[in-house]
Amino acid sequence: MRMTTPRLLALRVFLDDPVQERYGLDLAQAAGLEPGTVYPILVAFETAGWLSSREEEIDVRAEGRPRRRYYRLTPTGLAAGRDAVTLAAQRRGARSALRRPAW
Amino acid sequence: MTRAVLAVLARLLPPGFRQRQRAEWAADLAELAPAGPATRWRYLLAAAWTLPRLRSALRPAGLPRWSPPGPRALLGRPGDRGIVVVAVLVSLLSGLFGAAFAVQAGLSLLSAGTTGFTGDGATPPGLGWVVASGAGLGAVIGWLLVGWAGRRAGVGSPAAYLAGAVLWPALLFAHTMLVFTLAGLPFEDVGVGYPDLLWLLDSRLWWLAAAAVGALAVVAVGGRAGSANRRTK
Repeated sequence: MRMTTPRLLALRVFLDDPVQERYGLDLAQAAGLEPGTVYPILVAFETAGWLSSREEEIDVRAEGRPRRRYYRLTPTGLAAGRDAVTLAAQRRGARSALRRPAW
Repeated sequence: MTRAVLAVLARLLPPGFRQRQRAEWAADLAELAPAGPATRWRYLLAAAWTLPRLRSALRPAGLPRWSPPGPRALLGRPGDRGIVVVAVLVSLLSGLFGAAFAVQAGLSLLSAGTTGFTGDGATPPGLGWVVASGAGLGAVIGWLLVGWAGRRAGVGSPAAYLAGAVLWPALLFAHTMLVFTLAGLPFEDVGVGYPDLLWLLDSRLWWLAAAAVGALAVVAVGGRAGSANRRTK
């Protein structure tokens, strides 16, 4: 999977606490992303098997809002996510080393 | 208003995913309500901006490829509703042109050597059958042409989009003009007969026929480009 900066930011939030479930807006705020832009990331991760999701079990009338969908890292996602973050950090390190002045 | 925008955004998603995503957007917007309308509109704008990415992220999930309704439906598959509507509209127009052509041909054949309309406005006997045959033949040709183009056009191919973009406005405009012409007829010369009417419509709408033929030619030349995307039933 191609790792873009927003995807890495979202992934880091999940990796910070792998057992915590997140919903879209919550993830966006935690990752510092623009609310409303996280769903392509969530769907891509879920499609890749990195995330699982479940619908919130609430009484919609009592709560006065639609059900949220909660996302959580899968064991596959945990391993693959860590690898992806490590790889991205290595690439960034290599890139910054290349940019460092020679003198 | 935000609900209407949400409905439009959700409509642009595949049917199997639509309700789920709409509920997520709606829940987020409910939570953002205290932040004010500016924040909610900013959210909607961001959701709209990332919609193409959301759709492309959905593709590997085994969900069917999806294109917006309209041009694709127009020249997508013969089974699509859009193409049936277009086939009917094209058939009506091509039938009209067939009738207009038959009027001219029939007049030259039946008017004892004269090549135009009869001087006294009398309609030669037997012309009605010629005109009806021309109309029927034109309608059948139009129907078959649209069916052929629909089968040839790849779903979501650029040719189908381009043809749709040309054909739809041309057809709508042609039929609107047709209705206005027929509606205005009682206020015109009371002596107008159907040969004159067909000639009148033919002279006003010939360029629309050119547009329709151009659209079908686009499909003929480039239609196969999208054949790889064609859905299998």
